[in-house]
Amino acid sequence: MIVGLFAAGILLGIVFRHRLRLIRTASHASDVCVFFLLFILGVSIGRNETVIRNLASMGVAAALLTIGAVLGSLGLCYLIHRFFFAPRS
Amino acid sequence: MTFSLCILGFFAAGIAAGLFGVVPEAWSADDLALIALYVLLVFVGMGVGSDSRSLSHILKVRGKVVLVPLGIAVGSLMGAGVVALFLPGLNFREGMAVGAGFGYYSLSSILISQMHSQDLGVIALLSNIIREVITLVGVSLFIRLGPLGPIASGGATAMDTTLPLISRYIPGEYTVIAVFSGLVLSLLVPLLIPMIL
Repeated sequence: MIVGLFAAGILLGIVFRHRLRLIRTASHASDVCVFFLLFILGVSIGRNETVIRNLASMGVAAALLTIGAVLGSLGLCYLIHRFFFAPRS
Repeated sequence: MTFSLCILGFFAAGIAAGLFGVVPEAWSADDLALIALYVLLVFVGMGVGSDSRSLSHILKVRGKVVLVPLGIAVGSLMGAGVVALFLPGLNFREGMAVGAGFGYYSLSSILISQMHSQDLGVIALLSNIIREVITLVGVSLFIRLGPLGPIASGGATAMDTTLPLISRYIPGEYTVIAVFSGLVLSLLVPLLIPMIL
């Protein structure tokens, strides 16, 4: 479903690539979708009592785990880009 | 930066609205989010499709592109696993499971709370939400590590929720890599978490 919609979007983009105003409108509309998605995300957190009650202690552990995961990914991707993607000079 | 602040503002407003019951209970947040996500995917696809160079580029880097989600997966599992060693009540394996959400908080938290415990499920939910927020707020910082930086931080979310912002910073041809990487990582979530736990 997700891949199908994305592929459909790409096809629409190819078909309408010379309609600049339409492409720009699509870009603004995607920003609105992001705002909406994050609002909805906040609503589901705010409604979840378990999460709100233990937010502090679990939040600290979660934040530290995330920092570890993000740093690990950033480090490996930096190396991958450097050795496989960066143009040879 | 204004865009990131707007995002944080909407996120905070959402939490407040959820807490104080401003939004009618009848609204199923999941259904609405899913519809918004589908609409978003079409718009983002249009952005990629209208940039003809980005499509031709993926054919050239086909082999190397596989390394991106692979590196993100290994880096996330190891990074979160090592941090868990220093946290009370968590072990390496539990840390890896949380890291294996790659930002896909809905699926990973459900899997973990069913296969392991509710507590770790909540930590997974928070951690993977934080991953999305870190990516949105830190994109201008991560881009300094190269065009793969924001894609690495985004993990599975690089194909949907963080893509519109990421694609403003990375070169056009890397947008397809972001989607490919996010897609592979999303598919890995339901495979890796049962393997780890």
